Amino acid sequence: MRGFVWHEADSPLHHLNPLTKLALSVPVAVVVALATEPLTPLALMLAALVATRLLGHVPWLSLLRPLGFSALLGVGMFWTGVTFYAGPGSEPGAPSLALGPLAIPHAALVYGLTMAARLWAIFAASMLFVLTTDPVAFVLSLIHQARLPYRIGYGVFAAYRFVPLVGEELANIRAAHGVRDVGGRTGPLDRLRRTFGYAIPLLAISVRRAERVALAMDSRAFGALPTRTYYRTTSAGRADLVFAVGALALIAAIVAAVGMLASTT
Amino acid sequence: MPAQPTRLPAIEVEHLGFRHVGRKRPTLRDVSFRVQRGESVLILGPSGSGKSTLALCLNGAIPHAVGGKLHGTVRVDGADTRAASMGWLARRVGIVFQDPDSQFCMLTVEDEVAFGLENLAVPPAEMDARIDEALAMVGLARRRREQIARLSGGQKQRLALACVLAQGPEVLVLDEPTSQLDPAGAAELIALLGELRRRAKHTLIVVEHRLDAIMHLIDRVLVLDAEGVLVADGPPRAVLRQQTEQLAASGVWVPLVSELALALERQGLIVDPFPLTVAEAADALAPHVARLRVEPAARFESAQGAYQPAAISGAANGSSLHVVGDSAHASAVRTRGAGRSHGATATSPLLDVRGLSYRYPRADATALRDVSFSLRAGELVAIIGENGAGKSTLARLLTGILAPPRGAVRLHGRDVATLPRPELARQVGYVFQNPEHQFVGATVLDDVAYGLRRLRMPEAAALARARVMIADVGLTHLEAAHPFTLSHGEQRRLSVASMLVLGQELLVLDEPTYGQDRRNAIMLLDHLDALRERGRTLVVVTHDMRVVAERAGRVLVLADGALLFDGPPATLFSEPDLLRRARLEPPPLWELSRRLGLRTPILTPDSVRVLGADGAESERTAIQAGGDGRPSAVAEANGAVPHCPPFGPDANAPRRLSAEAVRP
Repeated sequence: MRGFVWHEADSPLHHLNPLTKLALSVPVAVVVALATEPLTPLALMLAALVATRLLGHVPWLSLLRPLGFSALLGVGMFWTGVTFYAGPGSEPGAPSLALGPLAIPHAALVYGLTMAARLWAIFAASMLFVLTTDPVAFVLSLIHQARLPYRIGYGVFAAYRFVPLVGEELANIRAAHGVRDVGGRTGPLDRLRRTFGYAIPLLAISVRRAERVALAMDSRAFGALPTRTYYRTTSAGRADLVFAVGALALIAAIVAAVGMLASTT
Repeated sequence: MPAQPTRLPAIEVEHLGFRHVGRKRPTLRDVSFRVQRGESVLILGPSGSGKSTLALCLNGAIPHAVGGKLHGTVRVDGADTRAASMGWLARRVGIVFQDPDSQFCMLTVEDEVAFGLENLAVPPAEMDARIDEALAMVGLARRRREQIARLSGGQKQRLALACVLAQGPEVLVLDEPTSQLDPAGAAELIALLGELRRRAKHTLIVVEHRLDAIMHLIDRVLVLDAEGVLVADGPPRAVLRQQTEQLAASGVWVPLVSELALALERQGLIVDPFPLTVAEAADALAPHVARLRVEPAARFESAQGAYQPAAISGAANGSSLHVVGDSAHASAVRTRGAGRSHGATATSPLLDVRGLSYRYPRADATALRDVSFSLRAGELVAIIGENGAGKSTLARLLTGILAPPRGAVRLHGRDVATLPRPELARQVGYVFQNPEHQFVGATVLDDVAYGLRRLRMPEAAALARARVMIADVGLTHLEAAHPFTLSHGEQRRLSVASMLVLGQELLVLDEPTYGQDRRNAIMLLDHLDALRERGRTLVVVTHDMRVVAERAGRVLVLADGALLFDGPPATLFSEPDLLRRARLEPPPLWELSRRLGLRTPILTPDSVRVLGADGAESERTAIQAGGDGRPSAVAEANGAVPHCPPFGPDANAPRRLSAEAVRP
């Protein structure tokens, strides 16, 4: 398993402290949550994508799959927004788009688009973080900069290694139970019982594996000394400051530009 | 390391006893021994004898990380492990466990090695060099930035060793380090241990089941019995010489050449010095080659017959045609109208595989390429090859666990790809490597009866049938136990029983002897042999070359997804090029036969007959005399006197012991 979707590269974004990138998603989220028109979130989305490509050296191709997924979600969001919109501009007689027997108020379309654009903006900002952040560095930065107790941090590492193994185990258990399925009942209740039947071996095997990992970690003196050192350290430096200031300025500029655009029309 | 008389032993164990939390019986009882610096000690014992528990006591994980009641003392460098901290202990005793997939917590090789250094608060500036050094020692220097998940099993175990070495301990404890590796991976690791031994900087304490490959590294053997009592402690030759039979009987795998030596001794030929390795056996037996006669095992001949064209196979397994063993089996199957056992004739293959290729969804490489062969009733076929060669993929395609391409796999002429799963499951069984994956019942009885109940067999009949099956595998006393509470060997036998109760004609077993001690493995293999004799067809996916040599009539070798070889093991093992290409090693007795220049390779330790000392006796007489494994008349007449002079003045003096290893 090669990170979940992490794109390994040597880029300015990869070199930033993961927490810087994570922290910057807060203003993005706030601005997006407050936006009542689609332009601001669309602009933020575009900015995040361009940054991921240019500063993060993530090829468009790697961006395509998550983008496709978010586009699909966005369409759903748009449709829901349009259908259930009941705010100003939805009263009969308001300007609307005639689609056969349907009359869709313009305001509803704008609302739907805003909803979709918000989703895309959040998604793009998360992609910037996920695609350019080594999960190990992220946990380390939580330990170093956010003072997460290291025992919890390393628990996360061990769990992270664990996930694909549990997946394999489950696939094996399903196959093994499948071989024993020689016929008989196949109702929904039976299916439920069968799914429950996977849980016991999966749990037993996982618990034992976790115990073995814990024993191996203890045997290598994990947590035995009052202090520990770190081979890889994460720090927040000037690059982080520059990036944070730049990103905040860009967010502010977008908000201002959209505001000006709104006041002139 | 200069010998200093005043130096403390590396490890001192005095009256050590340990009982795990929640267990009634202690795992270890009153164990005492000392390990000197630089010794290589092998710990032997049957399953459940407390070998792993002892290993954990040596590095301090007991009592620091594992709960239980500890008696007596363990001292490392003179310090009681109870008082010492794990940080102090980790710098002195390192441990490598058996499961390559559950001893790491980081994602990359270098991070994993660094983890142990970080725990010891090593200054970060020193880490680079220490990581490099440790990885270089195990031959992983070029994998430094690799993801651990991409390493092979053998590489993972070497990484585990590197992680420990980086912490700088003098004592290395290895708890069955090769038991989960393929032959190539095991060989890599053993070569590495040999390298460490040559450097003589470490004390090695190894727990192992399979001894043939490691005996040359060992200076001393400790034997634990099933009760956790230390019953032998001494130089390997002396211990194995005295204990081979007891060890074998208690379930420990002893070197095959030692078993052979004992079998010869029973026939009056004393092999001296008592051999522990193939090289020693070849030396010791060379003068007596003329007196050895190898008998091809009966089952092997018939199995070889099975490899011949159809008609012969039918004749060789004459009994197989009116089998389907017990009528209960057959009726269980026939109730669903799926039993086609009687349709099997000597001329039509049970299973026919033609041009089978397979690629996993979303995988880059092809897992199987154009594999063709067929299986006939009553065969025991082994599928071998290194990890990743496609063995499991093939086994799963045969049994429909993976969907084969249409027309590629036919069972009695019917396309497996189009057979409904439940119907296929009634005809083909699959025993998974980990028995726990397969249990569906809350008790042993429920688990075995599960399939019968699903087929709506009347409850009384189902229970009766299940009980017969349970008795067959010797688990009657555990009928009401939960399958997860059984020992490994018991679980394996239960999984076979649960699978076989329906009377499938074809049974595929994935690594059936894996993790089994000798007694359990032999019991299981005998059971499989009996099934084969009753006409069942068995396919065994295995790394265990002993199984291949001793039990299989035919072997399929896979390499990189292609079928490299399909024929009797004797032919395979006499083709070194092929073995090399498939990264396989011939079993020890085979290698011995080659070195001795025998025409017929030795299959099992009891298949060699000793001819008369003067060589006058004809071969025929010898066979008659020794057919039952008892001493031949000639040998008895000679009073079992050794006919060969001992190699050295003292037969029991170990030849390869270092001075340090010889204890008062």
